[in-house]
Amino acid sequence: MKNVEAVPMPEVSSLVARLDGGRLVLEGTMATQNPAADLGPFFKAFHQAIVQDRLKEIVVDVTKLTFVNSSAIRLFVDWTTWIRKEEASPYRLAFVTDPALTWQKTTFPVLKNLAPSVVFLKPS
Amino acid sequence: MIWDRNAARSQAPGAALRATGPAKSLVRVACDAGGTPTELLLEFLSKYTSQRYPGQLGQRLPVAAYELIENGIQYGSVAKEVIFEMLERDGWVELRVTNHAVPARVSRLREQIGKIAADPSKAYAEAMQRSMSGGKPMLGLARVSHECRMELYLEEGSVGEVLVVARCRR
Repeated sequence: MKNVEAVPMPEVSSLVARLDGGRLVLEGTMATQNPAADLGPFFKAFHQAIVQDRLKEIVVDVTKLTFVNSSAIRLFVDWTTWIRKEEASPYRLAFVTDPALTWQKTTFPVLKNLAPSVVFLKPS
Repeated sequence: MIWDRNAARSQAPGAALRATGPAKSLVRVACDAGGTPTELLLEFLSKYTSQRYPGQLGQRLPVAAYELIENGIQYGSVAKEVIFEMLERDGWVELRVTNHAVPARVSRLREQIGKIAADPSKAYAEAMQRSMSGGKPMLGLARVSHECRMELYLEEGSVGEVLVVARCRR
């Protein structure tokens, strides 16, 4: 976890990102005008750190992520693509979701279907 | 703005369901076509709709509004404003986004809305798939129909004016 713990968290006012017991917790909203520019570098650096640390799984808790715009949904899609291309040290992406939030109920099952060997869902 | 209903036409399946009764306008916002929906607008719509429509509808409407406006800005002319309006009519809630676009973009938009209206779930999955392969997914519009469970249709007015409407029962 050495590299993962060293990744600077993104500085976006509407979003709180933190590590809690080895899991990435995302709280708030991801609705910036350009999520790829504002948050993309963080997710990429986080992915690379996971690979360097040779982790087999990372848990991402999104239960308090109340709104994500469609451009930000693409960040999660991109993340799964990076993992699928990672031959040396692939890992599992386990999302802890809140089925009461409509966007999570509709988005994550589709993501799971598109990348079944990468994405795993854990209802809260 | 005067909307030329006689000139309106659409190939989207939802067009046949167009409502014509008297409308009660609730929210009207003009957005800078050079920008994108702000978090402030999202916050306002979230508070407003959660008070007016308690429950799931109040949660779904701001998402739909945000994505429709973003789509209108993305595919519209940069020289014109994007107008967002929320209204009630005949027991329906309607979200309406008006902008101006070149014919090629309108054609693509009409085709996309037709696919979404035919099978929202499939269209959403396909949009995610396109996103995965690096294409332009039009995920936002698919989301309006699949996630927010709203009917979508498109109308064209004169001189490049385009109206995208999403609606659902109150």
